Amino acid sequence: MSRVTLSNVGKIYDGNVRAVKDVDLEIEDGEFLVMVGPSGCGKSTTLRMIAGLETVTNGKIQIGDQVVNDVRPQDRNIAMVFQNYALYPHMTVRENMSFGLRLSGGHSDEEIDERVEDTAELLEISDLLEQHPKQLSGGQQQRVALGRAIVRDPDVFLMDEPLSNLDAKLRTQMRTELQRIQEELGVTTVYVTHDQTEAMTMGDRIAILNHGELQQLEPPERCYDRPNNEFVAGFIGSPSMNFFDVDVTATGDGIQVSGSGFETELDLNLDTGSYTLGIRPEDFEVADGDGRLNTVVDVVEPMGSDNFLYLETGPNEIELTARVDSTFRPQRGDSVSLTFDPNDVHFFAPDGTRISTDNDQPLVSEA
Amino acid sequence: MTMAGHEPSTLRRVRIYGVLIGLLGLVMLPFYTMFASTLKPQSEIFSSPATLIPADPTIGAYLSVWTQTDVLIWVGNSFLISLGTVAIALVLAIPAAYACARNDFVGKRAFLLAVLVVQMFAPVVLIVGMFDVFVALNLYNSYLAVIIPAAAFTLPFNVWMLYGYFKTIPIELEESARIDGASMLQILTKIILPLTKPALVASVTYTFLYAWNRLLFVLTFLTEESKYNVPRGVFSMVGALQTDWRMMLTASVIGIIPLLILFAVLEEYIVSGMTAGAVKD
Repeated sequence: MSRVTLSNVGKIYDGNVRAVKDVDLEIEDGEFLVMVGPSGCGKSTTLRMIAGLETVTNGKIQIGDQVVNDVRPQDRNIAMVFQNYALYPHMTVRENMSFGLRLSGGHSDEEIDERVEDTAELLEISDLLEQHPKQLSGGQQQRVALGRAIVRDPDVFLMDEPLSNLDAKLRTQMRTELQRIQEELGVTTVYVTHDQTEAMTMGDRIAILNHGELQQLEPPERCYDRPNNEFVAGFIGSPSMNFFDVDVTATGDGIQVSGSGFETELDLNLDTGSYTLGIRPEDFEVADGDGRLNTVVDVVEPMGSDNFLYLETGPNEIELTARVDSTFRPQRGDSVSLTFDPNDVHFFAPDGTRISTDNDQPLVSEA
Repeated sequence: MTMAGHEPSTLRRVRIYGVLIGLLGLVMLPFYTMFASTLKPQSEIFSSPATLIPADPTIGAYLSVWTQTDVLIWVGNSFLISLGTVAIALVLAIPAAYACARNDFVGKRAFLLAVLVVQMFAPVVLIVGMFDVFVALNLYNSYLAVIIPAAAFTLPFNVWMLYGYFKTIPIELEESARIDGASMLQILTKIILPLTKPALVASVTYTFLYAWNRLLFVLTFLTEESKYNVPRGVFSMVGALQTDWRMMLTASVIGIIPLLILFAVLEEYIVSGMTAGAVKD
């Protein structure tokens, strides 16, 4: 088990394509860190630099106390699970799992067999040991790939979108299983995904990247409740946060918010100016009478447990999404007035950074 | 009423098989004529009209070739030259193709094109130059004088064939092996080459056949009769005054038998889809 530290780590391809920009990360011993971001944000490159499959252009990567910038992948005592599993097709499951142990030397055949069989039992793949990868289903291949990583007893697990090739049901199942195994083994894990549901549910902390830059590194609920900037606010949460360009005027005991269909007073403390107001679809409520925002229904998307309303507001027909109770099912063209708790509103400066307001109560997790 | 493309399946099959059988007959006719001639007496070979089926089949020609010529030595030499050529060609082609498939380096495209250019030269154009080189290197009248140019002329096909195949193998397999602790050589021998079996079999077959059938190089660079291969041995049966066509054809048939056996054996190894299951489709 080991701590992984990235200090000012950057990666530039072909002299001018900057994939990762000066990332600082400290992953605690035994922590499950999820790196998340859109395609091309640099998350896989960062993972591959930790693995030693990519060189580091600048900065320093440490595993434990050792700087590993110039250490070969095989000498870093890491194990990696790839998106396409990368199982050796000409080897049986047993041979796949024991390949690394045999190469490393120092293990007797009996010891290797014992470790492979113990790991297979943990992953419930004991009956597959003599089969070839092509005989296995996607879920079974995924387990074998995981087993191949676990059997080596590495200091760090690196996982590059390991669940993205599975169907939705299996993905949910494997998500919990991965968490169970990680908790059981207590191995430091860096997990890359573009799926924010995986990020929110699996990680002790999540590192959100965009354009090669680290945007936020905090526990999932913190990223959800207190996004550092407009990008994080929009990326975390599904459906995405709604954004509105508004003008704020300080009044005696609060602020007046105008623009993008808003004309409402909020009991908040904020300087006069132009801001982007953000509010999550699930933070809207349908008002009984006049609410804070008058909208017109465009599309209603029933999700079973609740309904997504795709709405328009203001003279410029600004689009927004609201997540409401499944019993509320208006028709296209109906007027719906929405309200919200001022504490659920986020304000962002023109450069995208979050503006702290005096409604920033301590989070439940921090209380 | 039937429309084009919707013919009854039986009629369609008859047409397809008709065309295929016709083509097969066209390809096989020279081989059949050669084989049938070996079973005919000398007089029947040139009889007019020609007979399709030997009137009075005899294996006399086989016994004569077996006892009166060095056909076994020729076959042995052909094996030696072919195996040597396969070994040199693949030892050079595998790393070259692998390096090109996995690395981007300055001049890669130029290198691959340059390799291809070699294929454009007819061996006869270069034969005099090669003769000088082999004499200078003291390789004249040695098997290497045939093996080296044969390997060189098969190299372009092998490099391109393997280059294309290596590129289809997911890089993650190699990265996974690297993390597992495999060296470059171990990755090549334990992961890549086993997965490249279909392409390797194709390369080996092509190279083996090419070297087996070389006449020009043997004719030019080997003078000792004990070093003749099958084509050179058969060619030596062309006399100044007369040629025993029946014996020549019989020696040619004997020279083909090892190739037929080789194909039968290798066919088992031509396994497609070796990478199926390596990655999720």
